[in-house]
Amino acid sequence: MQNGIIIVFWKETLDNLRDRRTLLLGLVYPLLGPILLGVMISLATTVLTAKPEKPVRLGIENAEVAPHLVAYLRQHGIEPELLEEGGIKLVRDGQYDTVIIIPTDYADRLVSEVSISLPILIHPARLGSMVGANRVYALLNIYGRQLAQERLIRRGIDPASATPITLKSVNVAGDATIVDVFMFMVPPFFIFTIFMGGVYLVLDTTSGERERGSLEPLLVNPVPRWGLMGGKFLSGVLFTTIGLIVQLIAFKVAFLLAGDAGASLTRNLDFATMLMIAIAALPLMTLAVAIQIIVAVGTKSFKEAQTYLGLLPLVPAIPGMVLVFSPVQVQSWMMALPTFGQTLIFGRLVRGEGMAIPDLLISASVTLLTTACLLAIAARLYENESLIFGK
Amino acid sequence: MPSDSFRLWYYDLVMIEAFDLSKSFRNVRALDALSFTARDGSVTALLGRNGAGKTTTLRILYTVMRPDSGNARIDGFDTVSEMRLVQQRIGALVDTRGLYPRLTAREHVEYFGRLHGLTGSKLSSMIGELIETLDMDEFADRRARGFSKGQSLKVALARAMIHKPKNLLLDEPTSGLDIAGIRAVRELICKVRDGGGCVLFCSHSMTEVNALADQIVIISHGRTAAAASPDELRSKTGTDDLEEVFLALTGETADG
Repeated sequence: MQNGIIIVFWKETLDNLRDRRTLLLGLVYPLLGPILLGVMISLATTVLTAKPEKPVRLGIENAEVAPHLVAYLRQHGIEPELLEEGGIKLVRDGQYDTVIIIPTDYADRLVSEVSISLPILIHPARLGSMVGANRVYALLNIYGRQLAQERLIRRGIDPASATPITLKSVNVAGDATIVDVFMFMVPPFFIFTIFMGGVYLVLDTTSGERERGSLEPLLVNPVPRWGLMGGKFLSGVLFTTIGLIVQLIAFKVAFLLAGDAGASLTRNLDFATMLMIAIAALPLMTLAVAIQIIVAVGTKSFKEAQTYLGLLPLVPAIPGMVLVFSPVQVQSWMMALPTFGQTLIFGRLVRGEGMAIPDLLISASVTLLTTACLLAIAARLYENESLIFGK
Repeated sequence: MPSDSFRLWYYDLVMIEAFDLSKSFRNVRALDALSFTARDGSVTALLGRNGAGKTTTLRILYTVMRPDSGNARIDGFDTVSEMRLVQQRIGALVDTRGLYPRLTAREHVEYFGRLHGLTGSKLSSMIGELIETLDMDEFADRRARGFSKGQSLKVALARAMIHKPKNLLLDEPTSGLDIAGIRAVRELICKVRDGGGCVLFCSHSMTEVNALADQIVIISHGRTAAAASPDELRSKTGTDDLEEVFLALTGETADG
């Protein structure tokens, strides 16, 4: 006996391809993440890797008492503006990257070799200004060291003995840059798409079908109700898949457009990786659509279901968002947690760390098992008269 | 249990049978041991006031509801335990007859045809036949959004009849139709009856009942208040007007 799955699948797919709202949500929503990240990467890199030729906007109060210091800064390519006062306001307003306030007793203290406290005004919320401020900060440190060395030499002491330890940073991140932090932000967008991609189709084919009164006639046809549900389910999975593919391509394009800044991301997101992401996502998509069906059948109205389903993606996306700021040591048991396991897998793939097949298998099998249970529940709901007639 | 040969003979005559049907929604008793039969080659009308249980009865017959107790049979098949066999034998114009706004009229009929296992040229010739019978040519390939009530009803009828069912269960088949539409539906009903089919419909329109029904089942408070031919009912109540008959019969039982 036929179960109608394929017939319902085709009908719902055709029907929803003609629906602008479903298409909008399915195809345009996934673009938001890539656009957002692309813009962020471009902005962040232009700000953070400020070119050396970009002049530092430095203000100095009481510059007249420290001509040597001013000359030193000029020598290193920084042309300070000499201010009377009001440096704090100027930095706050962003007119200057930084201002140093030279104490009026600077010259006396310098001569008498007393330590001098030199305020340097910074505004950490202005990323662009911080780059300039950091340069001034570093230069002044060197300037201070040079003064110390001169003093030591004058006293006949080898300066090297006064600096027993010199710290030297060794970058082991390879060519990783600040941009790589953005890689951690990619997986939550995948999760979001996975849980949103099929929402409107599922709403339309369950709550919508009930509300426009086309469900009852459909149920009179000689096919089992789980078959009807199965067709709608498959159509939901198809739309979610299309959404994810659109998003993957959009990420690739966004990273390409970000130019050098997105280079490492572009390199990591090759075709094989995109394919792996889609494969790893498939079980989770079935889970997402199954949940959507249960919510849509179990709620009284289209609007009620819409409210719940709009909030739904936030829950599974949270672990991924937390991971952006505090990455965890990945362990196999984590793969058994649907959505969390996939978030970890996506993260690894996006960062170019490759794929552990056993992890993928654990994640996929547990997730699919959960889906199967949820579908069984959904099929039972479909047999429930009060849900069909809303009584 | 009746023997198989009895069953065969019996269901040669009786296509639709409701026996002791009861159904409650929360505290409301919609059907209370309702029984009636509808014969082969005849049109049976279910009459009753609003909320008397007509739609619930039809819903049980066309398998989307289960009775709390009692059973219903169509061509001898139980509407619960042999649901699929029943569904193959009935065409139902159900209470809610919503369409898919983005599908054309033809696609609606095609969808249901496929769910009935029809394919290919057989399916398309059936669709063509129905479009002609119901005079749907003009809007057959238009999307259903914006269809008039009459057009929607025709689509709903066509998709219900795509598999040429022998039994028709129609909930208010002519409500909202214009005169031409009413005539088309009446002709369709007569065609099925004359072909030996069994038609069961419920209606509020006495003219409809008068024009079509060979037998009338009056439902009141979830029970059968009367079941007879229009003439029998008229002579029983001593009035010529069916409306009077209806009021007399439902009024009497309303007190009891």
